[in-house]
Amino acid sequence: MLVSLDWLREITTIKNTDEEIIENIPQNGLEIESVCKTGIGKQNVVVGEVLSKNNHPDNKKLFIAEVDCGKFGKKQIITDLECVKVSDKVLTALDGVVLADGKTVKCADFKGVKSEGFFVSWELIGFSFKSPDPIFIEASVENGTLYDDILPFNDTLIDIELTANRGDCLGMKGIATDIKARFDADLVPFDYNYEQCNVKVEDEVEVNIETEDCFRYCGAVIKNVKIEPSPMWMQLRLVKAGIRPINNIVDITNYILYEMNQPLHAFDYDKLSSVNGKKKIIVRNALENEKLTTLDRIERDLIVSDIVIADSERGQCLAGVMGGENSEVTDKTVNVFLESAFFRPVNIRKTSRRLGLRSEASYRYEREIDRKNVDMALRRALYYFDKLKVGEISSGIVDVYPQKYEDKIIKTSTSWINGKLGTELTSIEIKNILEKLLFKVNSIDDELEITIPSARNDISIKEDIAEEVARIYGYNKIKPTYYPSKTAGVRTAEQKNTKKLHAVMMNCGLSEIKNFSFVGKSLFDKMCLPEDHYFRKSVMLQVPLTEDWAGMRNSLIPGIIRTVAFNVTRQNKNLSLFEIGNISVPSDELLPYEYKYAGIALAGNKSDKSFCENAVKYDFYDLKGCFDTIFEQFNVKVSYKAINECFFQTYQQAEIILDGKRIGCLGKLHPEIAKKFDIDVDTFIGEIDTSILFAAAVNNIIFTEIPKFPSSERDIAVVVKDDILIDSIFSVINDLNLPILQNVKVFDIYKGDKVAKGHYSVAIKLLFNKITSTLKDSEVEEATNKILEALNSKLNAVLR
Amino acid sequence: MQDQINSIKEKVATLIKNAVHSKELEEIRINFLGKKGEFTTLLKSLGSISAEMRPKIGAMVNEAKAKIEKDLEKAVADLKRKELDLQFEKEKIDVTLPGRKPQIGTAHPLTIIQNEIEDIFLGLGFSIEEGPEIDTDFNTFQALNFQDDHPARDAQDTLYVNKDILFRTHTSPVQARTMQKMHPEPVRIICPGRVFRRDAIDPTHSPQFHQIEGLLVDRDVKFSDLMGILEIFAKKLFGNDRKIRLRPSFFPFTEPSAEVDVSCIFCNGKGCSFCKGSGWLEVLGSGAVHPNVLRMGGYDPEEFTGYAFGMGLERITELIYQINDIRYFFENDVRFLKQFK
Repeated sequence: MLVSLDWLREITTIKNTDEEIIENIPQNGLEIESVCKTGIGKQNVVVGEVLSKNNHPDNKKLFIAEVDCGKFGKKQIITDLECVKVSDKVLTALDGVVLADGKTVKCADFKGVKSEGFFVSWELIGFSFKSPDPIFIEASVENGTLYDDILPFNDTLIDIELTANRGDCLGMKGIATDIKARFDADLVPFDYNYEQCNVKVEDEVEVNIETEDCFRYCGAVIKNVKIEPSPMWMQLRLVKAGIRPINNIVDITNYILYEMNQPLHAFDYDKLSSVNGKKKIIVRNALENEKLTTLDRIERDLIVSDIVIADSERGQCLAGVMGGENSEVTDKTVNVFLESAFFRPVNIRKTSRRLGLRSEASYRYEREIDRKNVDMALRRALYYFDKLKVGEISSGIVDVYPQKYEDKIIKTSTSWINGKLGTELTSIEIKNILEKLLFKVNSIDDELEITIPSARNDISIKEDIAEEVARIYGYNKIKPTYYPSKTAGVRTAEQKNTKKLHAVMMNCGLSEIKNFSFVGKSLFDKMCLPEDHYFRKSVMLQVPLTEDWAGMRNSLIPGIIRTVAFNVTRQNKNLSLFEIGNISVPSDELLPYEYKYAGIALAGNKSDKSFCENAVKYDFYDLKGCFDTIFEQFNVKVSYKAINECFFQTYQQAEIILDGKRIGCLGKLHPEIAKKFDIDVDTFIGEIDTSILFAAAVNNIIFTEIPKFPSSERDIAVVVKDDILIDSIFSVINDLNLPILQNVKVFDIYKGDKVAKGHYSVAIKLLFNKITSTLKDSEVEEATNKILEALNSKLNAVLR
Repeated sequence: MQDQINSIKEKVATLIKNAVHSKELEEIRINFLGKKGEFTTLLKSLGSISAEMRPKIGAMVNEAKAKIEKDLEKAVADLKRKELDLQFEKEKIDVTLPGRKPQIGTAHPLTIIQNEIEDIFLGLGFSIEEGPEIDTDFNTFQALNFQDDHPARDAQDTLYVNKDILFRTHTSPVQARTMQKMHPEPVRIICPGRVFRRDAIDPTHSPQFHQIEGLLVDRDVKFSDLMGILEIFAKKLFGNDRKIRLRPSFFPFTEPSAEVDVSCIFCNGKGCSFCKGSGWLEVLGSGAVHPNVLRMGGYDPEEFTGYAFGMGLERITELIYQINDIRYFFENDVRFLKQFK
């Protein structure tokens, strides 16, 4: 909402400076988006009357105009403006004027013809309004008058961003009411008087409301209109509001829209059909399959919730949204029917959204206008029709008002308001504040009975009253108080686990990433996922953002690949990353299942070549080691099982099983897929479901005695067949449940000439210890032999 | 005999002096002081000397042995030191070569600031609640007093899954869920989380971002109590010199509502380019929970009052670290991530 301070000062008694107004408005809750100045200050931009206009001898596009600039003398001006005619008065910038674009007007030579000034456009004197036309001034203004002495071209405009509830501030009257409350000023009463002719409006037009979606419909008839430009003062106001001046009738309707916050619509009276010598206006819902061609020459298919203004034959206007082509006011219009109405906001909103037609009118209707103001706005419009001498105004107005506004009364008390706000205001203070906002207040002792102004549809409960009191009193005059908690704030077990997991990941040398949750077809296609792959079964948006961002991830892996690719293509080739985030899986229930997942990616080198070492690349076991560390830190035992997932490289991938449940997977990104993402380094990715991890985690730590006696080590090397997994060797050893066996470690794997074909050798370090006494050699020997025997009998392992 | 002792002494002194290796000194010890050494032999021949000379000669021998022993010890120590010096010289390194750093993980800047904010509110007795990122239209809008087809819904262009289910546009549904779960017990929670809106990505917009909202529902809490909490929060997060300023605003779920500004963390209110000369930075929205919201949460608004506030985590993180583009948070360029130590 663009507020001209000149206009604001005209309709209120505010005497404050621009700076004071700008500083104080935000405290009302009216957020200032920007402030701008119009005009170019006190400069020699003057009224010039065109005395003659001739073609330039050498350039057909240019004219030589002789212009009478009063006390500034006669000036010769070269212009390309065809619309400027002899005896027109136009604003002329004289030599030395600095225009809004920074250029200075200078006497110039146009192919041998002198030019001593410039016909300015709105833009050149500091308005954002774009038009190539010059600014025409009424003939009554004396030649040579400085532009700023004619009208307040120099002004300050405040662009106020209104919150969705303050539809009442979309007009100068409403916003001025709110602003003046802060400055203890009053509104200047509006003039609603106009001269009426002796034809009665009820003899000319009859209005029938046949829908519950129109609460009030007022109308007036203006005969024998003379369509011409509106006066400059009105055009200037409209330009400041960002509205293009068209002609007197359109300008008045726009002016009322902006002044009174009431959309009006003008019909060509003679295009409406008559019944018994009277125009019959019917306000109704659209019929099934009804069509209406709107002002923009587009035929619209209507639905029943649309409201139509019709005559006895057909629809003439899409109520509150756009007029109909048929009854449009044109240069040939002789008589006008002027409408001022109130339509149900939801209907207007639906219609304008469905048709993509958003107008100044629909914007106001959907925010709900003031039902009591509908007739007043019409009278105010007629006042301007009279003032501008547009035509003859029939006496009286039509006012069909089936759904009368009923005053809203809110009962509350001073103590309740103070209790809500933490203030100590008196009833008188509260009453004064509310009355500034035009509320009517009846106060008896502590009790308050408040009548809400009809414009304020945002006020309906006592909490709203508390806000009104607080904002005009001043939020920042309220002193902060402290309400202590009766309990301590602590993280839940899950939150503690998440924090711990985060710390473990960082201790593994991983850096945290946060990926977009969105996934989509193109991403899955790039991963070469088959059509039925479970990653593709994500919760999809009705309307995707893009092909790539069409649904919610159900795995962290696609997003992680995207991030690895982003980094690798930016030459960040060594990566160790983790993410903890939610994923969603479609379900048969109302909402999808949501789980917190943790993912890891390792790519490129673990360490680069240095002065003392060669480069070391990440491999599968680095990634597995990260996961193993997590499981160790949460005291859970998992097993790994080889899988065959399409986006991982064959034989370098596994799923992780915890308590028989799959908790996640890990593997080397398939090199072909990596290539598609321009990833040219080995990449290892895995993820786990933290909900399963946290459920199994053992977090209650109980101290175990540290061995006091020396431990003993034995190294053994056994030869087994190729298809025997290390895991099964560990299982055989662990199944023996040897109490003195503390640790088993593989320290070498050998495959080659020195062992039989189809076999490999595993070197294992066994660590023995005893809590109660020193180990005897015989005990160690016995345990080692048991291990060797078991490996031999179960796995055919032979001591090397 | 005395001459013999003296000549051995001299011989040994020369040998020690010339020794270049600790092994030679050990040989000297064996040759002269050992069981078969020259002094032992000499002592064995004491029997052939007169009894009156015997103690004198014995003392001389012992004295000589002690001296040699002492000299040897010193020589060994000297030699060992020389040998170590040599060895150290061989192992000389350039201490200015860079150290071998262990790989260190870093937390995402949003996590760092989220933790700081959480800690402040935990200290104020708030607990942390989380909710699903995909939620119902009811919890997201209706339970928060957003009416159907009201322009207030326009402000949050919603990503719908179907007409009832959506990607949450704010973390407020967690407030609704918590009230439904907790009533009639008092509530003091914050809800951090990821939210989504239909926005094209640019330096200041992202279809995904994070919010942290707070909710306090209890008997007899006042608007001024909310101000107290927000003031403490601003001081603890941005520094003890910070002030807060409230401006009236509108949210469907609060009444009265306020935008909360914090005095500029860069110029401390004097006005600078970060605060566009105003001296204030807009960081929070807040207000008293609308009675309809309390009612839908199961609380009687005549008995209970609620206060709610919310902030954008990206916005606050951007302010603290002077990050100028929201896209950095989700691109995850490691050169960005490694800056937050």
